[in-house]
Amino acid sequence: MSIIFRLDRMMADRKISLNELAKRIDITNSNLSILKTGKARAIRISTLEAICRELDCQPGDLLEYQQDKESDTE
Amino acid sequence: MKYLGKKSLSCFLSWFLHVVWFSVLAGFLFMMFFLCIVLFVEPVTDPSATGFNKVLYMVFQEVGSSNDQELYDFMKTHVALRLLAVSYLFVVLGLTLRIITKARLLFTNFKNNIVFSEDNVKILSKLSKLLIIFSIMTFSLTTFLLCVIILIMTGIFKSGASLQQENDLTI
Repeated sequence: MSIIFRLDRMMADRKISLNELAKRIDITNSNLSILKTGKARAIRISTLEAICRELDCQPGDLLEYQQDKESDTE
Repeated sequence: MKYLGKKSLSCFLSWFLHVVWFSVLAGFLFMMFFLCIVLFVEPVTDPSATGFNKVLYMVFQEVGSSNDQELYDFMKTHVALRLLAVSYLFVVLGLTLRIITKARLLFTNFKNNIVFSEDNVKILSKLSKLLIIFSIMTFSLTTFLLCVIILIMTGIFKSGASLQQENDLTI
């Protein structure tokens, strides 16, 4: 996937655990884990807003675009 | 009326198909035992027979009193033809039990509120294939039409499962 969710990096910077963040933004640990591991297909604006609020960051700090290797060769 | 979940129509159907599975198995095995005796064992005519011969005597008495001409005619056909008929019935029994098992699995999933999942798509797909074979073997047009409906339902469930997965992975 081209869009990488940098949640693990932001959580490490803010020294916050997965359980703690899940509790603060009111979603389950398993859902937050799906986000963290990049298995999620989509993210709701409300979830993104809650994460940004709790981690005190911008959406751009969490999302990163990386060009696919296949599209590089084309 | 509830269709999915506990104490619903699916729950009842799951339980009912469980009972039907065992009933079909018991009924078919009894019928096959009876048929195998009639078709392949020499008739016992001695009323003073004991043990298993007594059972055979009772079976042949029952057949004799039924006046079933078709059965009498069939008893006189070649042994290979009789074997073929018995194997055909065994295949039909196997198919019937497999169809009931698949339907039971599907309703058990509905009972547990698992509706649009890949498992159900696989079950429906297998069920439709089994029903195609069953309809060909039993020359049943109704079963064939049912199978076509199930095939369409498989497509619907496939789309549903895809949407469900999309929804589950939207955080």
